[in-house]
Amino acid sequence: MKKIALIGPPNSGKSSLFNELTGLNQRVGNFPGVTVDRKSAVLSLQKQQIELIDLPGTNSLYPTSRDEQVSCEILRDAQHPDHPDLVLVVADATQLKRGLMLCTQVMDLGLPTALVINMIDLLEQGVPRQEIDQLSHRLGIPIFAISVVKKEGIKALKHVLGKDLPSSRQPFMKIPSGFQEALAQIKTQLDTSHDYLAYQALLVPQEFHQLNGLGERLHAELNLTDSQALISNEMLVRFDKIEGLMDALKSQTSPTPSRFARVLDQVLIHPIWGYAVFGVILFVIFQALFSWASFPMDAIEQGIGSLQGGLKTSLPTHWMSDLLVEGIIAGLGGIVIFIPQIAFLFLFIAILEESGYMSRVVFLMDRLMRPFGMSGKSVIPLIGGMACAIPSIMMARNIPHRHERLITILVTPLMSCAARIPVYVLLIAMFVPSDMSWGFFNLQGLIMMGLYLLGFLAALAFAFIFKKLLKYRNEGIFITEMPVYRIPRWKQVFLTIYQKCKAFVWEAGRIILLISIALWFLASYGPSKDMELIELEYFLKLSIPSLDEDQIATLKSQQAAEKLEASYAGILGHAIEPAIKPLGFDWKIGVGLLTSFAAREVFVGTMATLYSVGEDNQEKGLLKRLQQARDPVTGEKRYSKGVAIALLLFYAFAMQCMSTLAVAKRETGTWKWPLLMVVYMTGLAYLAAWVAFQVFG
Amino acid sequence: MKIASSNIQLSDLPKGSSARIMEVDTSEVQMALVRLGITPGDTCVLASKAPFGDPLAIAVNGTKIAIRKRDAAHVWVSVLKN
Repeated sequence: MKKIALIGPPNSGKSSLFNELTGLNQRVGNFPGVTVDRKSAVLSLQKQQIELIDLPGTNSLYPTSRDEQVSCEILRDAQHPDHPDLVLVVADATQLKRGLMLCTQVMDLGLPTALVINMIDLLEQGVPRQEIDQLSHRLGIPIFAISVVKKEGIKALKHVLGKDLPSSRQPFMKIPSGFQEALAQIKTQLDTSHDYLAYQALLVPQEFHQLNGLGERLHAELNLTDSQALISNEMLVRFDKIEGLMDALKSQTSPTPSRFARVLDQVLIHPIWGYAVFGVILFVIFQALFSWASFPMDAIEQGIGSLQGGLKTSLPTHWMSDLLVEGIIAGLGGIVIFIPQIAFLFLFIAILEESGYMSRVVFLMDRLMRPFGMSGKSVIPLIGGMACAIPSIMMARNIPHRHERLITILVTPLMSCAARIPVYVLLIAMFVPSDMSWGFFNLQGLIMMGLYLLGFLAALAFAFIFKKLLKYRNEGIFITEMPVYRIPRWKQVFLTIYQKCKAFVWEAGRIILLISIALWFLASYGPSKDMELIELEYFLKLSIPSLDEDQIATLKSQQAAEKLEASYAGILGHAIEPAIKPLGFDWKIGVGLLTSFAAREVFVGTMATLYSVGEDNQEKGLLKRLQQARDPVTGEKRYSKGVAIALLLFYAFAMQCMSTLAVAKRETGTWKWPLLMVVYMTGLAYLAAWVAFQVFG
Repeated sequence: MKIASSNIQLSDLPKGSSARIMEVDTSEVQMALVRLGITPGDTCVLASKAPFGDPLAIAVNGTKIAIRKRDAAHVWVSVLKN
């Protein structure tokens, strides 16, 4: 099948063109071997099947991030499964110079190329046809002037996608002299006739594995220590030549920002108003995540609950029904419940990014984040961490400097995520009555806010510690674009939400489901002798004919509690009891902590089973049981204020999420950093819980 | 490396002034700028400074960039008089 690749600088409207051409027809996956989003779609144009691939945006063919490197590899390596037959370079009409620079690099690699000038609607006088034709003639490639927003010129573009374009033409740029011999060797090895491809292999040999070290050897022999200077010289030469070509177009393509945009920036990056606006936006995001998202979440919870209840009564008593209801459906429920919050979070992040505001936040926050070894770009993952650390850790990719990125990844899980909310709600209610208030503020709500603040402060503190440990001094270069403001393209926003939710369900969901099934097994099975005894005991108790419905229900939940104690999970809970005793936790909490590894909110369900609370009215019933629970030896309240606070702190800090660890491993490439996460977070949690229990217990 | 005495560092440019980029004295900063299409000869304006005076917002070629003060010190500009 013919392959066409889309490439362009960030903010050139490349992805919206891709969406316009493909709609919902697109498939999202990963490029082979790396977790970089690969968006593609099969189109039929002029009775021909064509695969359109959206390559990660890049300013030049010398990559600075892993995403950009994927784009470059695909264009350079003729053996790559995604190597295209035609490259469409998308340029922003108001930033034409930059698009043209990338375009001439692609051309010089010897690939059939066409240039798409997008956003012509932003040019006051439009683009005169004859000037485009002239530029097209000089470059020797077809050029299309389009506007995705106004849907102009899309048809003409589609028409040409089906045609074959020639690739042979004069290189745009002459390679500096003095490298002929080296280039000849590389060309032979790469089996190519294009000097520029070989020149790239000479400048950045580490990106050409197929040369088996030849590039590195020649690089060293020619003593190319400052290859960065050669690279920027190359781009300077290209820009110089492009300026000459663009003389006619130039007056059209350098617009001054509108008055509105200037006023907007005066407010949004103002030393005082800028923070005020950012604060308000954060507040709205909070509202959405915690109050608006609760409606769909409640509905999902109820739906799953009634599905489980219905299946339980209608399915025969068999281990397979149990697996389905308690393992698989419970696990799926644990995944689906997060979708509303993830969708809301990405709605906001997509709007903020699309509009150009996010880069202003990066600008405002950079100086404040720097003492903590992070950059302005770390703010985005940290905000995201309040919903879920999993996608947030992936968002840290946009941080170019290695140490800043690593520190951000390491501390993001300390931000209080959505999964901690149900646990917080239960535990806070245990020692603070819901009607207690402090002036206008509800005390429960204040404690909740305090826990979020605590998570954030802990993240900053540990970022500072890691900065010291890594001996990092913010040496990274920080030069980033703040693109012009524009109205978000809603199609783009909703596609992002859809794709992120889908990715979450698939990526994290698989792990959550697997762990949930494993936990079901641990909690339902135990050494067979003990389990059989319990079965027999309750079989006899339940066979008394005079029992009324309430008594049967009580007996059944007592049976479930005893079975859980005798199960492998119960045994494990008892086994870790000595370790958690100093925190005031007993084996039941131990079981809850263990099951929390699937997802933190599983704690609530586990405690409900352990305290044999019936199916309905789980939360209130459980709260009452926990408050009434007594220590069998001393007769004291089992869940004193001290235990509840210790547990709260433990949940605020502990690393209890396998999916986060899996993502961190993928993003950092080693188990070393996720392991550090487990150690430092759980250590902090243990210490904080111990102190709290000693003080309040 | 020749730097004319009348040139100043971009990090010292007063707010609201415009200047012409003359030279970038480290290849790392040079490359980061060139990637964004910013080359010697371009005219830039110091649009605003973030709180604590760092980073700087520079308007150039119809777009805006954020640049840390330390990186801006490697960019030499000549102030344009209006």
